[in-house]
Amino acid sequence: MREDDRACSLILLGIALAACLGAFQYEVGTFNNPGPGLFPLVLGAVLGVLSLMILAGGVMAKRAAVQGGQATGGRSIYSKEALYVVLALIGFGFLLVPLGFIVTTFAVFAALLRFVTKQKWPVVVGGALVLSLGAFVVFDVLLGVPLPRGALGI
Amino acid sequence: METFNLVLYGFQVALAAHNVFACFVGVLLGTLVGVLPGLGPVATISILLPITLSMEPVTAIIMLAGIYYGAQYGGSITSILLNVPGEATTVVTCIEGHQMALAGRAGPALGISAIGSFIGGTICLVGIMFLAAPLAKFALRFGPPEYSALIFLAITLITGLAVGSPVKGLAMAVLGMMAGTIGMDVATGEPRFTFGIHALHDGLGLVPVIMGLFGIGEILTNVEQKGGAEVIKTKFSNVWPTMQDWIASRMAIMRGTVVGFLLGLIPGGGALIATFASYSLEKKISRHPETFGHGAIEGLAGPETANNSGSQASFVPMLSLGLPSNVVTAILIGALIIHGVEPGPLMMTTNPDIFWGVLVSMYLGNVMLLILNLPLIAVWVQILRIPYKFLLPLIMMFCLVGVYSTNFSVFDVFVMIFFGIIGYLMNKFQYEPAPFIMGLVLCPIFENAFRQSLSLSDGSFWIFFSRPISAVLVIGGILILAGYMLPSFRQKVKVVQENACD
Repeated sequence: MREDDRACSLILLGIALAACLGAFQYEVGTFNNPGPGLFPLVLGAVLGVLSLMILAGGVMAKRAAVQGGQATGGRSIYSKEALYVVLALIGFGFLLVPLGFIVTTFAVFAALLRFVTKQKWPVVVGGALVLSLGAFVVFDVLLGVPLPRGALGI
Repeated sequence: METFNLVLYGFQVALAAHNVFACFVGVLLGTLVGVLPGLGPVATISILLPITLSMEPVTAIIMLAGIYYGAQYGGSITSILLNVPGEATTVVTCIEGHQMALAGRAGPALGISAIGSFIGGTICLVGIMFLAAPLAKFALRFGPPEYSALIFLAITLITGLAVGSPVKGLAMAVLGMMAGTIGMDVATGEPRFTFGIHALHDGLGLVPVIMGLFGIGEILTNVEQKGGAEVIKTKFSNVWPTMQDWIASRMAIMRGTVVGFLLGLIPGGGALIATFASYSLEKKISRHPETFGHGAIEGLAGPETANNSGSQASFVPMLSLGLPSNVVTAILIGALIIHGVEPGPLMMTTNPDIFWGVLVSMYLGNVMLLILNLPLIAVWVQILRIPYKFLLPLIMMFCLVGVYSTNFSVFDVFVMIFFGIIGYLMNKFQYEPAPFIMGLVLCPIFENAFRQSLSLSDGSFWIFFSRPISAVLVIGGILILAGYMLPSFRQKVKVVQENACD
């Protein structure tokens, strides 16, 4: 187990409790006549027990690290690059239908090429253009996948 | 005789022009993407999953299986030339394979991997022929209690093999099962945990979840890696192993086949244990154990063969019982479900085309790999040199268009992104996504069987112990769970893995 298992286990515990509470929204039934809520309730209970075991392991790991003078903590869990990729993906999701495939892909991949792969502007514009038009031709025109046209009709 | 006819039927299915083509494309794409830096077989198969959705089930599985073992061979290439294992099963390949490459013998190392895999695959197919008939009979004796017990055993086995803590592995499997309860209840049709979102009524889509966890998750992990590993510069004119290499590795290949076949049949990542077991075995019985770690060809040939033979054998529980042995077979089961084929003990009798067609196609795929790879190794090496920053936009594009085109749904894109973030965090905090997928895929089948069993027994759990097959399976699962909790057992598993790597 690791020190950061403490935080992870608490998240899992939260999910387990939510599942147990959520299960009661449905009919739980009995073991001889199980309802839709029974299985989620059992799973929630099992996850709860497991998350407590992980928590115990995490606490012990932290204690051992403190005693050994190797306590970490306070480090960032994500990098800037990963965050940019996630933002680009979310942007794609929101813009795809209103702006259409070509415009969205151009914008998202231009941002990606600039901020994640750190390309120069001519490469950014050229690359995004080739990617968006190329993907449209391959998927929509050649493979017949109907990609959204957006408000601009392109 | 009947089995022999079924094998012939398998050849008939696998040799149909469209299936040969699917197999070829799968093997080629698999090797190509498997060679690309940063993408292992699981990510490859996840990213390419949408392209198979419009095919017939058997053709789709043939192609996905081709992608899988193609990517595995691609992983061997990166292991040998870059010392970067694409996945856990090729960790052992790095040990001797990379040493051989450093000594200027990358060609024979890649050659013996392909040849060993081919021989292993061939013998494995013969083994499966003998096993199929009794297995089909055995599978017919499975009712809901046996099936629930079998899934319980499978989940305990798989979580235990998760790298790191088995408790975390088990927690991920349970979490996956909880995600599997989203959607309409199997018995009453009542929507559960859908939060009023109509798109969730049919449950979480397997394609966006798989692509998110393994595709996007891997992309996010890879963008953080600074700089790439260095590819060994060598000529590949002598790919064919020398006579001395043959003599040194022929018995290792045979042993690797047997080890892989036997361990591959056990649900729970058989191919992984098989590679470590084969390496340990070769090291133990070698007359020159001191050469291990310095490019001993038998230490490469054995595990590579075991890997292939083990992965082929791992398709048997999947195709005969509907039980995934590892994450790849879990994804394939997901693909079967998407195609409307219900995985389960009856699949071998109801869908013999899938069972025999896919197994025979794997054999043909191995032939293709051999023909394709020996002359193409130099090309793969060039692809290996492509920097990741050029690949990132292409991979992302494929994921985005792939997931959108499955249902033409933006919601699926968001599901993929969400699980991409989850997959990334899982990688960070060492929680394995594989048991999660297993749980997600198996949940509806397990819940159905579990509830049917309880209804049959009037609510008594004794039903799982009063029937011999389910009793053996449940007790086996409980013993394994208890074993994981014992520190001495965990230590032993660790020692076995470390010994293999020493």
